[in-house]
Amino acid sequence: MEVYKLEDMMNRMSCRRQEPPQLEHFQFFQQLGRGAYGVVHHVRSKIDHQEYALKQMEIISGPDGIPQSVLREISIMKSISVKRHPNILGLRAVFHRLVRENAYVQINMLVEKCDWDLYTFLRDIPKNLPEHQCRHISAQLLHGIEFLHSHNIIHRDLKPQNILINRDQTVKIADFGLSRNYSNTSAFTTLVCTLWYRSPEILLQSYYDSSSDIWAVGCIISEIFSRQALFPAQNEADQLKLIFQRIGTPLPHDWPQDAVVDKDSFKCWPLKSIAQINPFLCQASVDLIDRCLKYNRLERLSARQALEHRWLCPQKRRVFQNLNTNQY
Amino acid sequence: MSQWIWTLDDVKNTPSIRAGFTKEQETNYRREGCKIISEVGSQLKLKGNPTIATASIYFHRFYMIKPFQEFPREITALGCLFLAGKVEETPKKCKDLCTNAVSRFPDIYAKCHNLSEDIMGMERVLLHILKFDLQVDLPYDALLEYGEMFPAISKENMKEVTQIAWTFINDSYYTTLCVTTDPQMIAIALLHLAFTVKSITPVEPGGDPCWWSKDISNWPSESVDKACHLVLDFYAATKNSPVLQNGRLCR
Repeated sequence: MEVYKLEDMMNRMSCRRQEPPQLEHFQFFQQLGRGAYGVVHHVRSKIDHQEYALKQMEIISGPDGIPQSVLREISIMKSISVKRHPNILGLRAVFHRLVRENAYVQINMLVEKCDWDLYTFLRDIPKNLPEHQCRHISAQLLHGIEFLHSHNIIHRDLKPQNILINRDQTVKIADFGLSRNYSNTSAFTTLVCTLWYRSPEILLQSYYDSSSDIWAVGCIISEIFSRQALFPAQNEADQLKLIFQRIGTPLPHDWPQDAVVDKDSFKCWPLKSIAQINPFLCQASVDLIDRCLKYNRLERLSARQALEHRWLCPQKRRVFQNLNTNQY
Repeated sequence: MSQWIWTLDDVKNTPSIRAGFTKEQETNYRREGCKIISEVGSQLKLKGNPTIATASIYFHRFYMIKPFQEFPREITALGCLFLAGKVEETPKKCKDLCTNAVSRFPDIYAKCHNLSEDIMGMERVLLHILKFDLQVDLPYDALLEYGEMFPAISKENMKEVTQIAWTFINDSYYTTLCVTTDPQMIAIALLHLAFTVKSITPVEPGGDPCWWSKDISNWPSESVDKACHLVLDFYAATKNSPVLQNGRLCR
């Protein structure tokens, strides 16, 4: 049996409800975005008449078929989507087709359509958000991250561009797990992606884990208040320097042991709280962000701890005080 | 219920049966495909848990949707193994898979000239039919957890029972148990079977014989026995004529 015969069989397969959708089932509107992974289109399904975002990636099918990293990431996203977490962008379907002339496999991922990404949202609103709204958005962001971390998924590329927000203020995290190593396999050239939310340990190319996402969360919460990026460096070389200038150079014992750059190559700036840089923060959020931006990743809050922080969980604090008084 | 669990009626009325297969033919074809997965997989040093089990689940699911008449089982089997290798992080090169398949089953594969391309084509067909739902749960972890649930049974006995149940699970992949039964329930049923084989009563006299009822209520012993019978039937049928005994597929 030859491969074209299989492809032919695939194309002839009926489209019963159980079967995955095909491109012909969608009406295409404008392009929503373009990233390292490919393009995103706004589409409407001709079957359920709902609107979706359709991400199209083109993968080179090498001598060992579809790359393992791609398969694993998509299948993990698929299995996570079944659990339908309210703050994770739902992956509704995945389907693929061969783009034969180019020997590419085009993978289509059908996801929920949201109104804005957080980047556009913060750019276009006329004035700063009130504190309770900042808190509502931050809490949802952390709920989503906590869910990913509890399923052993590190996002790795959290930034306002891949946090989505709807008119009703629901927040959804997109593109988790898809950001890694895509330049090797993608047919698209990697666009300059933002370094602003990268943790120092990633920038120093040393060991990193889920706490790197928490660093990004710290940067993003600060930005939700001020609508200004916290560490907007011009290029990769300046990114670390800018972080150190703004919140201080790490102490020697907080410098990653396996870092590729020596601490002595940076000037020694004094450690500062985020409150000294961002005047728009409320007092409780300052403490939370400071704990997200610890240089020692072991000292950073986990997503779960952050959700229990007094800024996000004032009721909890009240209960705790009651308990204390009851102990007399 | 998950879309990857079918009813017992569905299993009696598969696409292959609708296209003219008898039940026996269908059963034999499934066993042969899984035998190929198991043999070629073992030759590549892949283990039952997880890669061979995962590949077998893909195989059984695929033929709940597509008929054997359209997709030859020897190609599908290798496609499943290839895909499961990547998903379970035990990847094998397509070239090595082909070499091992030809050396283990020359009568089946020597005539396939484009085996490598066929496997890669099959990978794409599988992704389409399985809808990228490639993360599958297996019963092994649940079995080990249940194995700790019986402090009254001696350590040695329990170890032996667990080992027997483990083998039952491995062999259950020759049957359609994995497309009708949740993995946790498979663990329960086959641990129950292992207790029976060793004549051990896991519950105190007068206790609830359904020791699993805390986790899965309303699952009577008779239904559990039915699940076990699927595996016992496989043993009975293959005792005197093992699957792919002379390395050739049946007609």
